[in-house]
Amino acid sequence: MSGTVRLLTCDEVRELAGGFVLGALEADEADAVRAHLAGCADPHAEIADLASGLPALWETVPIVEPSAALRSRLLAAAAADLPASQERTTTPLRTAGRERTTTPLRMATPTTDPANVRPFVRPPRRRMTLGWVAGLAAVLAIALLGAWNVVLQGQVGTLRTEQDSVAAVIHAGGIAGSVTAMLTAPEASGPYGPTGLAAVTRTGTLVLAMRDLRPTTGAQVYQAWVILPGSAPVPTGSFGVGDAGVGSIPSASAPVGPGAVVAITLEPGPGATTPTLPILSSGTTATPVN
Amino acid sequence: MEPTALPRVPTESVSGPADDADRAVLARVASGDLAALEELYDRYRTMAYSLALRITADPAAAEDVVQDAFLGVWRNVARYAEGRGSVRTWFLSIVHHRAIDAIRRRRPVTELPDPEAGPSPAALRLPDVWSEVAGRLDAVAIRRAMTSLTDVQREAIELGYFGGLTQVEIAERTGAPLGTVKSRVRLGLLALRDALSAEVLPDSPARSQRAGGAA
Repeated sequence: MSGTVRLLTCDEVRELAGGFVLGALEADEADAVRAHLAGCADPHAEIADLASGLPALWETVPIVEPSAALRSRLLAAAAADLPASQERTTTPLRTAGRERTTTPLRMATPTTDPANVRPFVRPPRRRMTLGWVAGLAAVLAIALLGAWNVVLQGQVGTLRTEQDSVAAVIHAGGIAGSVTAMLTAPEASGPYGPTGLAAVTRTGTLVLAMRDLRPTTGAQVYQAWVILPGSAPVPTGSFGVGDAGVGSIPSASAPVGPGAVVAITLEPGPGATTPTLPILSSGTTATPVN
Repeated sequence: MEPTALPRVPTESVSGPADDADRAVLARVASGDLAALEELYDRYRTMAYSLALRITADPAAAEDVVQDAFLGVWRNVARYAEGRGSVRTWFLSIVHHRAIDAIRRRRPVTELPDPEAGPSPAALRLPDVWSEVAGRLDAVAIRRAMTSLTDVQREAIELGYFGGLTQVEIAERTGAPLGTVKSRVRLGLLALRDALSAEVLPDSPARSQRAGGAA
């Protein structure tokens, strides 16, 4: 945040309320509104009033599941700073310390770093050694079952994700004025190259579903490009791919025009402005035939 | 502008448990209970990720946003104040801010201020419409709410809320004067509010208080 925050009057805050609710103010304006609200006797109910329509926007969002790996990453990161979080002493929501003895047995995925788990597997000090060994065995067994469960969840999640992304393309392609494309790999890459479906709506939203892609590693991403005849390729969203080989772009801003080509490349990282050849899969958009 | 999304209603996000249950989970998160964080994650991962993905259009970036948002809650749960709206609204506002921040950094534009920093703005004191809505709104009702907007209102709101554009940028993009964009945003939000209120609270006293004036 900047050091100097503009002072606003209540009327100015009311005028900025819509943009503030939408997150569409310039950074200094948003800072100024926050500063005003923090010190103003007027509760500025108009802001909450305007915000009460936001749930309608949330419900227009296509539902997509995150990867199963995200849970593991989050819990590992949270466990890693647990000692710090346990030092919190004055939180309004804090409850009795008894709850802090919750064991890690609900963790579906064992963290790779034993240090991350340590705060949770502390047994009661009076427990006998035999009991400790049995407890450790139980933790290991549960961890193994948990890992297996994660694998199964991942497979089901992949199927659902692919189904959802294809459904999203079909939905977008069915909107009046949309164009669609079947993406196929160049012949040189053989019969098993990546393929996909894309739709670009009249107002320039690309929706894409791909399969048979090689998993990305490191910062790699698959980048979609929309190429209008005679124009430079425009980057229109990117995605990573796991072992399942599927990937999608649920919504990205794309240029609109006749004969647009949708193409996929593999880039070393996000934010590419020119494609790294070769093109792995591409297709020319056309109005769907009814 | 046509709807850019499939209006589907996920069981998890709409007919989820009451906000009291959310607050109970949050209290356990505050006590450093990792299992509670996992429970919170199970409740909101789908909605959070879907929102982040809608905004970033990049699965890797969306996962980073979701992870940061949950870690933000884990580390700063004290910033949630009871009586200032539902946990869901609070959490999704964090996800939204972080996702917008991510795409603005990508463009790049100046960073959005950390929504969790400093005192909670009144924006987080949202009425608990969502829990009222939970389980009652279906896809048809959502469509009705969205179709209550004019095309230009919907365009302005989607460019701002999902596209991360500021009102100034929306004006540049659409060629409309800034004042007109502000008016479209305000009237669009009011229309959504009215559509939801009509659905949820047909006799809400708030409806009679509404000033009809444009910004």
